Amino acid sequence: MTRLNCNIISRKEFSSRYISLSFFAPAISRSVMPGQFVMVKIPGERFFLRRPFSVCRTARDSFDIVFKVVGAGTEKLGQMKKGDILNIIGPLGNGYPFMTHDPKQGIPFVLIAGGTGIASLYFLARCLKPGRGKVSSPVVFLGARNRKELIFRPELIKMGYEVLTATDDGSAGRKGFVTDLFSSWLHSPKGFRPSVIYSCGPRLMLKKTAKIAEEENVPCFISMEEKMACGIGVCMGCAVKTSDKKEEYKRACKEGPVFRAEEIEWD
Amino acid sequence: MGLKQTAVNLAGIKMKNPVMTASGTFGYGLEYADLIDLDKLGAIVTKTITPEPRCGNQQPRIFELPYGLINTIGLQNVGLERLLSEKLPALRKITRTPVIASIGGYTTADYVKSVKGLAGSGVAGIELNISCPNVKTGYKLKKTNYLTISQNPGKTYRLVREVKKNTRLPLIVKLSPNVTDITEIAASAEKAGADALCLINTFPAMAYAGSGKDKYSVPIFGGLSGPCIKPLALRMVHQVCRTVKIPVVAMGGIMNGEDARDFLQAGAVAVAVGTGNFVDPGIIIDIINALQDTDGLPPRHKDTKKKGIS
Ligand SMILES: Cc1cc2nc3c(=O)[nH]c(=O)nc-3n(C[C@H](O)[C@H](O)[C@H](O)COP(=O)(O)OP(=O)(O)OC[C@H]3O[C@@H](n4cnc5c(N)ncnc54)[C@H](O)[C@@H]3O)c2cc1C
Ligand SMILES: Cc1cc2nc3c(=O)[nH]c(=O)nc-3n(C[C@H](O)[C@H](O)[C@H](O)COP(=O)(O)O)c2cc1C
Ligand code: FES
Repeated sequence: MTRLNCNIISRKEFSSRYISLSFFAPAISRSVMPGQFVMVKIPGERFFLRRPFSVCRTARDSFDIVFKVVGAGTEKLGQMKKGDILNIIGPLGNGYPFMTHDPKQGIPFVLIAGGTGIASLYFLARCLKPGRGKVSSPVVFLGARNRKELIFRPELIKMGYEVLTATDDGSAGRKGFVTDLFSSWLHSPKGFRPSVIYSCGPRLMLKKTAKIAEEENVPCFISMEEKMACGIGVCMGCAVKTSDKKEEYKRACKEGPVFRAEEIEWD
Repeated sequence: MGLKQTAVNLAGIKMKNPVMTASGTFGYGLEYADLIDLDKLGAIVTKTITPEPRCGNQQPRIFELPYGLINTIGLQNVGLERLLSEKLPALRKITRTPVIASIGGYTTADYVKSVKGLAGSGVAGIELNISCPNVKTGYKLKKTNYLTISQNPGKTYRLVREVKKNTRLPLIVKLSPNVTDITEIAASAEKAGADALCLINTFPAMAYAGSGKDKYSVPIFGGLSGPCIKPLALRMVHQVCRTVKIPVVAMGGIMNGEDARDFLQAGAVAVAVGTGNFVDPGIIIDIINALQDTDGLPPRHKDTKKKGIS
């Protein structure tokens, strides 16, 4: 974990509200694992706390984040330009465990992403080898509000993933929740019981994913986004309720953000 | 200009500079080790612990404001046993900076149990947290309204006296700002044998934490901290420093060297950085450097005679 001033080396707009930034930071890019995140100090006194963002891609000396403008902080971040310098702490938290699977014989995994949840899963998708297994390629279920917010679809297809999409407004793929898409796919002729499910997205989506995984008895890893003040494990602000009797509330920023789905107490 | 001498002695705790961490904002000291040099700090104050571990409050626990933060953590902590067996030994391995253990509880017996447990643990002092607004400790006023011990001079006196009987370590009592007259509580703690005072804990506050259409669906009640409370804290520190003879540790919204200097000028012997650590873990080191680089520490109580403008 380091704290660095990072130069923005490029900026990309997927849509006016979906923006990606690349930062020059070898110390982070060379050590970060999929599912880990960084805390970004957004300039201006108004943004008091740092904002957490998953790393969505790395190159040798740089890493990228992709975010949706949802409030004043992300709005300001979206206005940052190439050459601007931001103070960043990272990499933070525990990423997704790489479950070993032999793509030749093994049964593929699936990724289920909702909204900006695709950020960390895209990084994971790049690291796990998608190679076509006996049954099928690994499948990415991609959910978003609308067509414009379905990002990384072409990149994932190019990498060899099968990508199935759902949008809230039906502007692309199936209309409705991505978890409903996943569950009807599971029971369709093309569907299979995956070796493992990795998921990131809104809480409700994760809850539904966890339920399906439990019913199907498939190992499932989810990334939880709680509000964070420090991001490094000192404030206890990001607590996630778990079934662990010894340590009921775990820190999303330290023990998480990736948890085993069955650990979470959803209330 | 050369580096100025900044060492202070806080009720027997020898600090190389007057800057320490505020309880609850620095974990158990270990978490920041990768980011800053812990040896540079004046002292490290650990998260308030209770005899048994506590799991804390439900989400949401944090609400950000432009110049501050409302938190309702609810004293989530690992408990006395793990502090003694895990956290303190690990911290001792990585730094020689004095460690002050913050303790909390529901009853006098809880506090006594913790101070007894801490004897011989190597901590340099004890901070008595009798002022956390986020737990139902202290005593009940009405069904929903709990007061902390530090809101009552009599209860403060009795608790401090009892705890003091059971420890030889320097005892720092942490006060709540949520009182009519903080000097009255400060005087009670001093009379009961406190070796130092520490102020202030957070202010009780509220915000609506929902968003969009649901804005009003989630009221969050908690303690307010950060730069927005600094002027309120400064006034209380000024008042308390003119009431008691024991040293005062000041905190509340300290974000830079100038803020720290203000509190020292008001009469504090040391200052603590809380919320500022979240904004930037490097702030505390910047503050120490600022105090060393410029004119050293301001003379204490220099302005006691000045009446001020009110
Ligand atoms: C580990 C982690 C990884 C994340 N990764 C990404 C990412 O890759 N891309 C991305 O777009 N977003 C990500 N987020 C969410 C992102 O941090 C928030 O969207 C951002 O902090 C909002 O800041 P703001 O000032 O624009 O919004 P605010 O004005 O603070 O809030 C606007 C809305 O965003 C919600 N929000 C605020 N903070 C968080 C938070 N920490 N988590 C979830 N929702 C929040 C609020 O409830 C509110 O509805 C991640 C969050 C966490 C905890
Ligand atoms: C997230 C958070 C947790 C805190 N936990 C504790 C605690 O466990 N014990 C305590 O005595 N004070 C606790 N405090 C209060 C701080 O120690 C400090 O008194 C207060 O925040 C004012 O200082 P600041 O404005 O610099 O943060 C906490 C504050 C915050 C923001
Ligand atoms: S955000 Fe502070 S402990 Fe996780």
